[in-house]
Amino acid sequence: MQPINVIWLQGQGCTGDTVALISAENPSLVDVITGVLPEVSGINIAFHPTIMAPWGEKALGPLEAAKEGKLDPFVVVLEGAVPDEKIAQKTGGYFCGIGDMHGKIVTVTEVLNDLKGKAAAMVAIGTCAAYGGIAAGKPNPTGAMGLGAFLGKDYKSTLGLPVINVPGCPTPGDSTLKALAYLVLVARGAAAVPAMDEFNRPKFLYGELAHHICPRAGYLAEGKFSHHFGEPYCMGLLGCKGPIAYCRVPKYGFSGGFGGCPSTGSPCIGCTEPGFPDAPFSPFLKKSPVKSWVVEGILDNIGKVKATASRFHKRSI
Amino acid sequence: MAKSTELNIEPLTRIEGHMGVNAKADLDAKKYTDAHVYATMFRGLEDILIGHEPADAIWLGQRSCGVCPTPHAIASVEAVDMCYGAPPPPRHRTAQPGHHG
Repeated sequence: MQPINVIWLQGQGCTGDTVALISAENPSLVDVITGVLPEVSGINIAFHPTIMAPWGEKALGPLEAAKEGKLDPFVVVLEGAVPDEKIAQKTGGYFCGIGDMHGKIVTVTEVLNDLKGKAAAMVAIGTCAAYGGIAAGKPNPTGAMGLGAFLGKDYKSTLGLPVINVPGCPTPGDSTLKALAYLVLVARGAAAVPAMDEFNRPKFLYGELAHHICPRAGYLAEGKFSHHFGEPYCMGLLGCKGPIAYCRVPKYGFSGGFGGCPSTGSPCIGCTEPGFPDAPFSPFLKKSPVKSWVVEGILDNIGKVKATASRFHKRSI
Repeated sequence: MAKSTELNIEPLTRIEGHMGVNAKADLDAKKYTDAHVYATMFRGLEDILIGHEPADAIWLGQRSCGVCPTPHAIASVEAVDMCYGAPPPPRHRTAQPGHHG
């Protein structure tokens, strides 16, 4: 099978997505790289600053090769935001360099500009890469932006795909690998382009509100709320942003079905949404906006009436 | 004339993120004479924290590093505790050494 090269670039990020990727279990990174799963075999990680063996100028070789078209087809994965280097150039500096080539700093902006026309797909892993995230928090000192904003709305890769966002802070490794594996199937013609929502997130990963799939949702239905950290009930009063955030972590856990914010006792902070970490997601301990509570209250009352009425239905089987 | 060489390693891979090393070595004495380690990425996390509630630092502070978020989170928790003059409960003190894994 034709190998697909992955070029994993790190912008203004914290490597959290890489650490999460290593802990993925379903599928695991080892399964994907070693070809245990035949459908997604042939993935070659050509460039990844955290796990590659070479260092110094030699490490940047794959980037040059990709620029000259020797690595086709390749997928560019970005982790971390893209800064506005024009702000840094005013004082003669730079915000995000990824290496030293012939005595000159190569910035992530330059590399993205070089590769954007040749990449089979551009994937933004993590909220920083998708929408700017932490680095773009007010007042956004470095002019950070997401990959979609950097490349423009009408950007299409050579496969005809827009930028695919897989946000999260960090993105669960399972989600990262599922999205990338799906793309491999798309590239080989084995699957259709996944359905995506308005923010270019694949719907099979970001189709549900964290609130709807929360393991504590039953307590909300009974009106039981946690008033202190450590209590096992609904965390709506502790500042949970689940009603306004689309995320699969509450149901599927962070890795291999374990972990996840509500399971471990932390309220949702809305890390998968554009606008994080500013209002309405912060202050993180402030209740989510009134609108979400009103909508939920109306639906809740309709639901209670329906549930009561359903007691009088005759059983059909 | 002492023979000397200059090493420039950038990027320094297999660590978190963006780092470079510049070192000078004296080949006759077989000694390094000068070394600088520098980071090549700037986000301005301190500026981003301005205007947030103190407790937000617990979540934002740990985003400074994805490999070692825990010490940043614990330091932020302690700072917020000091800010509010609220000593942590005994159960937290018992559990804290385990947070680093």
